[in-house]
Amino acid sequence: MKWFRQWAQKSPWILHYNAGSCNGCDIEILAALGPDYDLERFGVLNRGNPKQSDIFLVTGPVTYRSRERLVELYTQIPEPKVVVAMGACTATGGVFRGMYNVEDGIDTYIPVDVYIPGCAPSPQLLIDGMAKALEIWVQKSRDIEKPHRLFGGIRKTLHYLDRRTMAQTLAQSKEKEPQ
Amino acid sequence: MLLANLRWGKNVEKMRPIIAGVFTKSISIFVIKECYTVSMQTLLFFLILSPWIMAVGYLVVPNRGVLYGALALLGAGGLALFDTTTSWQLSINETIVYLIAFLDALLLGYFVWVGYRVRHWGVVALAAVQIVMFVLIEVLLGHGEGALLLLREASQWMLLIINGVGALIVAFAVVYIEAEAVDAVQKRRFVAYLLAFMGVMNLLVLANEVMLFFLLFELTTLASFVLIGFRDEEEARANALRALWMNQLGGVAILGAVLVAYAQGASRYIDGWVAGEASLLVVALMMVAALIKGATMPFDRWLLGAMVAPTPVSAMLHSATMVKIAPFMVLLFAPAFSHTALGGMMLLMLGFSMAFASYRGLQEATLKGVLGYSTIALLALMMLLALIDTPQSRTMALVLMLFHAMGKALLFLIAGVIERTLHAKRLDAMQGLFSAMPWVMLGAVGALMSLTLPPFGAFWAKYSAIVALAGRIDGAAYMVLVLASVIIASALLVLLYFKLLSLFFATQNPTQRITLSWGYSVPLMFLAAGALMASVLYLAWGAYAYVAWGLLALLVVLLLLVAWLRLGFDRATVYGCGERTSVTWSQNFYSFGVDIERSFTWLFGAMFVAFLVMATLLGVSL
Amino acid sequence: MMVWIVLLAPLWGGFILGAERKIRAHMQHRMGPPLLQPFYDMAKLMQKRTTIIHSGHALLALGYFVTLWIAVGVVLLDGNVLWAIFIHLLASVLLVTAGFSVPSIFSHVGANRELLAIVSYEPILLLLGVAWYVSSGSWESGAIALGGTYWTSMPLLGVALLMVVLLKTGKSPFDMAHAHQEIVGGVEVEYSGIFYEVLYMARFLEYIFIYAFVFLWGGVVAVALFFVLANLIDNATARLTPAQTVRWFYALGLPLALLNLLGLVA
Repeated sequence: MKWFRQWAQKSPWILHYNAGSCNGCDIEILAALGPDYDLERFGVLNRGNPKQSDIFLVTGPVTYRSRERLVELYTQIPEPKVVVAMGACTATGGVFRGMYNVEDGIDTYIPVDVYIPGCAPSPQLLIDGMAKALEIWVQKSRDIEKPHRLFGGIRKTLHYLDRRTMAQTLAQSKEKEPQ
Repeated sequence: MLLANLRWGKNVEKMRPIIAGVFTKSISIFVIKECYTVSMQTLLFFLILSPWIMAVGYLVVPNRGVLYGALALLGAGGLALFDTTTSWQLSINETIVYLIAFLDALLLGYFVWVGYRVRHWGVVALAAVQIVMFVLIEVLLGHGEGALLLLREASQWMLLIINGVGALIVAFAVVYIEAEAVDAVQKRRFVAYLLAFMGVMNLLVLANEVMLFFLLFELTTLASFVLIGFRDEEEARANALRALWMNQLGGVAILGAVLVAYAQGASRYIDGWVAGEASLLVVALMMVAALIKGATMPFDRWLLGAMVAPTPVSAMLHSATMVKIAPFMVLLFAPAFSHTALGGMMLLMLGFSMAFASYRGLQEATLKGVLGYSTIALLALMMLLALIDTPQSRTMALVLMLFHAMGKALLFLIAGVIERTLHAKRLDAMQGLFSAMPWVMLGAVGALMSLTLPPFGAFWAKYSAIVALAGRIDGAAYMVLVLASVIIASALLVLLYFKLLSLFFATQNPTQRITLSWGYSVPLMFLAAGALMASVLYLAWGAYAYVAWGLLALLVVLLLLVAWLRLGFDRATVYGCGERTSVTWSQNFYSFGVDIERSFTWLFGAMFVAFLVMATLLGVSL
Repeated sequence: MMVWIVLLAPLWGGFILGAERKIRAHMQHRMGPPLLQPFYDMAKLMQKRTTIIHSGHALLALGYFVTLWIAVGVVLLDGNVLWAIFIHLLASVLLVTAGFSVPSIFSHVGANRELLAIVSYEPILLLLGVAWYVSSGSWESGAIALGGTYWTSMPLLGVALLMVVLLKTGKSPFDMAHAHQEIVGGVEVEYSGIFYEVLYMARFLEYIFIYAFVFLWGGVVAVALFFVLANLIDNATARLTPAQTVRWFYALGLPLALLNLLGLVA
């Protein structure tokens, strides 16, 4: 099902969250979605719904008020998911770093996969970051444990047998081992 | 093609034995066996008399177990009668005529006394007018030869509805009234009134002699007056009086019809009138009585006022008795005037009434109000189907009556349960009931769906109304309006029912489960099971057999899917923009504004007047 | 041939949707996604982990999809047009029930708007069915198609049908039910993974269903014309509020349909 996997990576849907950004990055995102850069030609859609999104695109330095929402939204995105931190503020806090009401970047709270530097990053950089994020997304979708698939039962049984054989071998080898 | 083979209405006649057969033979087989051995006449007399005997019996010995047994017998009797196809009639004799006259006089005297006691001069005046007309009729009109009682096809359906659904409502009412703040005698009387009401209805659907019909018509008026005013409050009394004088207008119309019939040389038997003795004016006056009983649009206020009564009364009025007289009367008289201009006018009135009632229901804030307007809309549809007067549409009117009776009774009884357990009447107090009583609410959802959607009987009625109207549309431009209002009404009814449904789900926090006593839940279960079985049987009949099998297969698949879903997937919380605040729901009322509603009321008044004028002109010219 | 269209309806619907995204992108001077993009999306959604709110909610989505497919089958396989409309109504109502069955505000708002959409378009579709019955004497779609096209006899109903097409395919100005920026897709909001995929495919079926009506009305030419017109209007207009949408349908669409029907019977 190689073609299937290839198809699957051609449809990254993004959830864009503004965690206290100055809106510079957001304007760049809109520019990237517009006619000039046309992110949609890669299948990108801005869903606005975590449950149907693959890429969590965050802008802003994470203000004090927004951090709970940030974590909540992150947990609501089903796996496999990739977090993209867009802009300097999102990576480190940027010009807001050290302020009393700012949490200095999103990686204090959620794991980040791709950092896009710049204040604000250009649409080209954003597209580049998206490509990188997709690579990671594909990797993650391979690695992810999928508890429920069609024929999952067979897989689970095989897996179980496999593990049992391993355990037996291990036990046997332990028995053989001299004290 | 497979689907092209599905022709509509091939086997209309096959339906009754199947429904009746499965009901009678599976649900209450041993009771029915007793009934089978008795003759038709005994069965009919049993149906007519036993509600009265039960009423008196319950007043004297209020034993709940005995009453349940008797109610089961009564329902089984209705079913057993439904299974037969023979016709039956009872000829008139001298004694009965005098008895009827005596009872009529007694009843009218009672109306005068009621009006005088509360100083409601309208009631007194109407009763006085009725007395004058009544005396005239008794002096002038000889009784001739004819059938006093007549068992028609529609009567069989009505007897099934009255006794089958009515018995369940009474069974519910016995438990419901226990929690009412009245003394024990009043409680007994309440149940006895309901039973007597059933007795009156059982006789009414058989009546063929018009003065007997008038007597029973006014007796239902009396019963509704007593029951609406049962709670001795200001509002209840006022609404009971309103119901009384409005329905008295119907009585006046019937007496007027008798007088006109006499003037034009007709007899006093309804079958004779339908066969062509009576002029259009007579039929029109009878239809006025039907429109008032059916709470068609200018007369909707008495039925909505009836909501102050204890809930079983509303259930009784809306589903099994009272308002169902209206489509029954239209079924009787439709052959006499369906294809005249008068029939066209009445079709228009009914179509508009249906559309406006379903719109008006959207603005109601109480559950019973919403159900009331939906009853008015569906009653208009029943009358419309009856009035189109093709064999198919007549059957569909009866099918709709049966399904509406079951669905509406279920909904009203659920309203009663909510009233008793949560003390809530208004819709906004009913938010999120699904988590409190999931099974009951599932029943409500099923009942709401059964009143609009395929594959239930009410849907087939809607469908065949559209087909039948489209069949008569050619060259009759006004039919486009009737058709459009039926179509719009059906869309609005979907909105109305699902607006209700949305409220039952609208909560974030699961509330405490409420358990019901079996006295409440058993009638509900019977009604729900009856509605479900009737729909499956309806589909299983004739050409739709494979649809029924498909549904059953679908059910199995659904159960498997539920199992799969329950095992297979993780649960998530709902999306709320990342926020965790609680929200409150509010309702939409979809109003165009009071002005438009008022002008619609005027329109209905004008149409009613036009109907009368037309009837007079046509009647005089005959 | 029709059997294949019905059996593979989601496939054809996917192509239509892909083509539409392409066309819309070109109208906006963009390149747009590839033609197979809907299928890429579906493949992706199958890779995602699925979470549900409760089993009834997920089940109703499946019910919606299956019922809608049956409706498409009825209208394409010479079935009764009225039946098709009512089965489609049942499907929509299942979706509405699904929307109401979860305690989510967006879902409730979306379901409410879906109901208003039903109230708006259903009368027009039914009147169209009646008009077909009046002029061809049959409720069956096969006989209606044999009766030729209805450009000349039902021009006003055609305009009303265009409004319905806009509403059913979620196009501006009548796209209140699926408004993504406002209510996050409305009824769809709580679905993820394969259940969202079911709804996504159901959208393909909605396209097939409504364009089958357009086909019956005016043949292939009408389908092409309506397709282009719908996308033009979508790009050129802004979204109306639910109340405005209902008002448009009852003040313009319904009178047009009624006038046309009156002209047919008079």
